[in-house]
Amino acid sequence: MARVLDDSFHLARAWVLLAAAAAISVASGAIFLGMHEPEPIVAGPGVTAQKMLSAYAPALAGTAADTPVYVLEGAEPGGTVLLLGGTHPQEVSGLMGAVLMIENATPQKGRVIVIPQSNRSGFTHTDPMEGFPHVFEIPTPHGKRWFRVGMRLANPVDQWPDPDLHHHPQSGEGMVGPESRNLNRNYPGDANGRFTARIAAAIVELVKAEKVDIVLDMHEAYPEYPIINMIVAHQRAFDVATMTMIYLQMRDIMIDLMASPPALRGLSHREIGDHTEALALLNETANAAMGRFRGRTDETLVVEGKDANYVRAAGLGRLFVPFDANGHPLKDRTARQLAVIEEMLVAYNETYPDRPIEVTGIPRYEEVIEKGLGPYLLAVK
Amino acid sequence: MLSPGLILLAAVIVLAVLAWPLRWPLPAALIGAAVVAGLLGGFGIPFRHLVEGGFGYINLVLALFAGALFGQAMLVSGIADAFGRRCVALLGGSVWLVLAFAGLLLFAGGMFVGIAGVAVLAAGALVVPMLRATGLASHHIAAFVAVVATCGMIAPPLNVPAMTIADGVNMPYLGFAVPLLALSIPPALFAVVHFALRAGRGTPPAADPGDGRLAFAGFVIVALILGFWTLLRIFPGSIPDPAVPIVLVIGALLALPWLGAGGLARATAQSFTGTPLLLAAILVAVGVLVQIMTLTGVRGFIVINSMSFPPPWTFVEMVMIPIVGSVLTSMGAANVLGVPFAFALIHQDMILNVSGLSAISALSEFMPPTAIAAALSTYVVGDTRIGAVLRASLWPALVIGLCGLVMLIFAGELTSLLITATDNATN
Repeated sequence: MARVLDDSFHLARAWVLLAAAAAISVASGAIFLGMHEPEPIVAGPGVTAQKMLSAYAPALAGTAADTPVYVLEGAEPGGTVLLLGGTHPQEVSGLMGAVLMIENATPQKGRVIVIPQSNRSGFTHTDPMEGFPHVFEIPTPHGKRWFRVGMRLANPVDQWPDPDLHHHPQSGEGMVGPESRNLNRNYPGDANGRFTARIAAAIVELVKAEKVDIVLDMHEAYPEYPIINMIVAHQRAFDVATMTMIYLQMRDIMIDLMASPPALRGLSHREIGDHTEALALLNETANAAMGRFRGRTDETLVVEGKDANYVRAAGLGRLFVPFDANGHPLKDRTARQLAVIEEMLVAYNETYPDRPIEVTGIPRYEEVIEKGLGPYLLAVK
Repeated sequence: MLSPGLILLAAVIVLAVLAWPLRWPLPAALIGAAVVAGLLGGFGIPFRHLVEGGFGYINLVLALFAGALFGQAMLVSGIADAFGRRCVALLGGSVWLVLAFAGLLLFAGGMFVGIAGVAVLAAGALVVPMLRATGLASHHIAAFVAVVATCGMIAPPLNVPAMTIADGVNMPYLGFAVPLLALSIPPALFAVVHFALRAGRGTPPAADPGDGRLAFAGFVIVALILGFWTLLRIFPGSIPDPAVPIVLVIGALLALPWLGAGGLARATAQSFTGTPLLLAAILVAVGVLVQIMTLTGVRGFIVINSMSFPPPWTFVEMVMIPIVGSVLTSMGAANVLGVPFAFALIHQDMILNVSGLSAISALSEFMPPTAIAAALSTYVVGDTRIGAVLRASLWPALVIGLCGLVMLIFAGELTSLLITATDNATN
């Protein structure tokens, strides 16, 4: 070994190292390029149209910012709800809630518009030093379906460099520079701005163009975060959000409610509420795979949501959500997203009966928890 | 598959064996420990994670190289020397005034780049020649540079550890100016006094005022960079923010008339070799190790065991922040431990929590093996060793930590003093 490290071998050593570096670059490049393949999503019986987000912002066409939009239109006219999944691609119950709506829901009155991968660029990479898996699988009666775990920020390949300090342009509010790639810090967006701001602007344009009445942005957070198992609502949406919370609690689904802080800018519940006619809400479930206390980080943790460290942290009073040996499995978290959608629509219809949104086929909370996600995922052809 | 505790033990043993008896370079030893941890964790050799982790500190690595390039451009062009001599002459050779002025430059560098190591490389190169005129020993000069640059990092407008914690707890980075000044100015003043008392009597001002044109170029370059950063922070959003690395590279290119093509090549070669390259390699390897430790559950094992006692032991447990930061750097420690500690103190003002924890995280700049500020100041000064620099930094660094701890313990009493009503409404 000492002889190989001797200076007389420096040229040979340099060539070997360069060759190794080239091989590692090519092999890892192939792995990360593979993340650009999106997970298959099957249009269910309720889907009446599919388009891309660039339909509302033509400049996005052909770029990594463009993302599929699913329209589920009822036979009778009514209001429109927009469901956003994948704003933060490692918050996987948001993606799964959106997918289960696309593959199962059928509106009778009004429309449901779903963007399952709102920040599609964020699905093409994972956060260094976080050890996230690239995919997770769900068993279904037709075989396994796979889905991506991404990162909350857009891929730096699509937007770089980060400024030292991200300034929300409309308010001047400052945040750490990489947040300039966080879709949920860029609303209402800027059609002529940087990559992520253009996605936000396109979503806001969709809300305006489609006269969306109510928006739900589906998220997850780590169990030590105070805003967890909670709905955050813009002040105009507060009545609907309060009723939603009561209806959920009547079903023994414990959930809290928080008013969107007027000074916390760039978030969907604040800016979509302020800049459009839509009611804006956001829902958070508890994902142990995102937290700092978590143990082994793998697909099992993402799907099963069980973690002994979190059980211990709960005992130490460090968490803002109950956490026992059963954890918070993905099926429970997705069921919670679906239950919020279901009760939110009930509350909305009672408050705005002139523009109803009536939807059947939303998988029931209790059934998803009992049967899992598999029975509600369609076969990929 | 071993438990996280045993994986940690095995990784430490492997790291120690590779680094000492086998004398592997530290980055190679860190990666070796990561590979063994991956194997023991049942992940085989997790190729994808080994590569991905290496990108964990890519922005810091770029900023450090840019800081090194700026510093070397100033040194190779002769600007740093002339600038230093002229400053000493203008300040009448007074040790106190020279230390105060050098401190101001380092502090301003830290304020605007938000990362102590970059401030050390960029501003350190400019102030070391003038600090030599004070008669301070080399290890004291390096310690002064590291400490004051770290104080500058803690100060507003940019404090990357504070911004990282604020982001983790979902707070806007607003209302931090007064608390961060309260944390950064006292230890900076302490450092000036502490090192002034250890300096000689200084150099007579007329000894050698240096080349006037080169000194003027130095003043102009410093004024342009600090002026640009000031305007950027006063008018956010009105001026495109090119980020620290690009500003420093442009700053280095401003010295081109005095560098020439040969000088630029020499400055570039020196920036990307030696200590900057070694530190970059360590940061890449640390990123790899952290990724594998996260993957195998070791990171969570450390975090949960660092926070297992209720208050008031929470404040004692915070000693783990710089210890973890010795590997993760101040930014990594702020992210991994700063965020849960901020939530643990959620009953008190979160701006003060984030500020205080950022100061405690900043102590990582003096904790080996990374000890970024101390290692880079040793490199910038040249004729000293990091052990001596760390010993000379001890008391001022403790003042930094003490200020942070006092802010956290007495947050209730300090809130009305340091936080305005508007700040409270914001959060």
